[in-house]
Amino acid sequence: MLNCILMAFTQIFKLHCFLGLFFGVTVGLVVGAIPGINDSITMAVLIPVTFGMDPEIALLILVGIYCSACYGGSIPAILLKIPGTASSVVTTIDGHAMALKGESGEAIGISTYSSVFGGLTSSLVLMFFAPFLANQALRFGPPENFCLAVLGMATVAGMAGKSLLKNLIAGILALMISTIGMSPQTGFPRFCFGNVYLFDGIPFVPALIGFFGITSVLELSETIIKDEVPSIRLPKVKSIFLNKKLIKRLLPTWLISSGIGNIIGAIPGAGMVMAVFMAYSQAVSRNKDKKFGTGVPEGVAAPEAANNAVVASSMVPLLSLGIPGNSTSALFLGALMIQGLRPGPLLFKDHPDLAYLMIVGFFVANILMGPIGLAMGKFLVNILPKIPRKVLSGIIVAICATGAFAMNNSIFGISIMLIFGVLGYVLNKLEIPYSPIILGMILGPMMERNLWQSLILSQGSPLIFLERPLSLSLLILALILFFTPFFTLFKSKAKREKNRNI
Amino acid sequence: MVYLNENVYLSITLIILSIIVFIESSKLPNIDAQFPRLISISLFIAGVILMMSSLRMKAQERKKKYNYWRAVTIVVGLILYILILRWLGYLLSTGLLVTYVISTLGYHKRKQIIIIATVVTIVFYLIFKLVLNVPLPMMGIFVGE
Repeated sequence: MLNCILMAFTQIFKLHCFLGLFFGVTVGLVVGAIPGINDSITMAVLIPVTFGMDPEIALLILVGIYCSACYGGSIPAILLKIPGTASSVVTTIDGHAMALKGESGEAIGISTYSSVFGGLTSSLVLMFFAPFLANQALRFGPPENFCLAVLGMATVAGMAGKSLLKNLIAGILALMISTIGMSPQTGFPRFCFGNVYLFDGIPFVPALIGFFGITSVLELSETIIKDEVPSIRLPKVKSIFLNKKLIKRLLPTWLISSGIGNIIGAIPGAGMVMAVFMAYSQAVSRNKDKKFGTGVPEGVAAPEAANNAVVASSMVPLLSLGIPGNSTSALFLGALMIQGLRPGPLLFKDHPDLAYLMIVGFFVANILMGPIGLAMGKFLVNILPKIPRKVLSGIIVAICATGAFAMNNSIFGISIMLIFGVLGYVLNKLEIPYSPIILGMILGPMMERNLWQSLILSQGSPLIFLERPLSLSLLILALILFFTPFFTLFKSKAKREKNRNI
Repeated sequence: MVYLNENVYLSITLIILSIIVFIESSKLPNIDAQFPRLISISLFIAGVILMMSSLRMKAQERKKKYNYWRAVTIVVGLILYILILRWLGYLLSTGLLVTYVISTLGYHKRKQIIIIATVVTIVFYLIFKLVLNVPLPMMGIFVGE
């Protein structure tokens, strides 16, 4: 194995391979930064193009795009409060708050360092632990997947927000929205009201674009009166690099969030968004003295480390077993097959040079991502504040509408964007957070589908969730995560009462 | 003048929504209705708890004034954009949308607005249509719809 890894390192630094990887990383950063366009769309477009290329260059381009797209999404999330990709949703919370405090350079720097750290750990995991992790991932059946979804939803209670009850209401509303579409049990359309576009459920990316892009423009329209309102102060150039003190402070967050991302990424179907929310929730629990949502560095570091940690680890089941871990790694399956390769254990036996080249490609791509991302971030951080906010809003609306259309080539996507934009605006007025809604829209279908599959397996007995050790552990963890904020609230109320009596 | 706590109105809305969903679920086959029913019951309970906690709070004098007319104007603009997109095509509709939004927000340099709208629309068209191969709507009269 070590011989193959060393040979792959030699191969990757040949000019044609390195340029392919560099091109992929740059393209990934740019498309990740555009709301509505993500790694999946870009790779889907480029896979047919790569058919005529050398397999090494083709695969390295795709590796570069996959690595950098989810990091690229953090740049508009921080600067404009619009996540470029779904995995940067949580980064908007503290990232944009930092930008409003004049710390946009530092926020971009934290995002970059965190993404590189997370990506490097997952590429090392892929390099040395792929077969072991793949076997563990196979132990996840419908009961475990259901309990994992419950665990993900349990983090809703601990999310930043003024009211626990409103967090829960947001989570329940999200589960309600997730029932729109064809039922996973029978395919019967639910709450579609005859609209065929709703048969597949609410399209997620247009809803996301609406929540962030359109809502921010609507909110801005209230505050802009006559004069220009500068919202992002120009940062000092040097603040884009992190000092040793901040790196030392963020290291525990990077380690834990990368761990979460690596584990979740290796489980087929779990998804990047779940990892991101769980990492953020963990950071909130461990840093109770900090007020998340007001521009806390850990609030940017945790989700960004987690989302990049998912990238290479999601390739673990694909390369080891031939099972794609998510939709993007499924595209890799297509790319490999176009090149005449079959992922799985035989890939390492028949084409070890290509298999290890891909793995090493993830490692080098994450290193390349750092300086390219910092340069791009520094450029945008200096340019964007010079554009009047009114003009920027017009551009944001145009890119949101185009991105919402591009997802399914349908005007219906723009309608969904508008509906969720208005919904986000109303929810903000009512102080209901919409992060739980985003999480619930993703986990709701996973929860329902796996619940029914589990009950079919157990012939209707709910005890299946308690009889399997892994699902029981996940349920216990979910209960702890869910009730901890209530316990903390009760404790602080009791303390206040006691102080008042004294 | 004193207004009821906004949360009371929210809780009423949630309770009504949960009842509607429960009723609509009863029209579905039993197996498909279980999950939505469970969610609607949860939402009903959450709505009732919110109402009880909100009624205990004192009614507050509304201090905030919402200036939402510009927001409404932008929403109307987006609705019109959705309606005209199929007929006028992407380039013209999006150019008009950008112009409309920037003007609504109070930017009054007309020549600059037209230049910005034109450049932005063309750039996005090039990125999405030519680079990413996304088929953007053409003008309706050319497509023959």
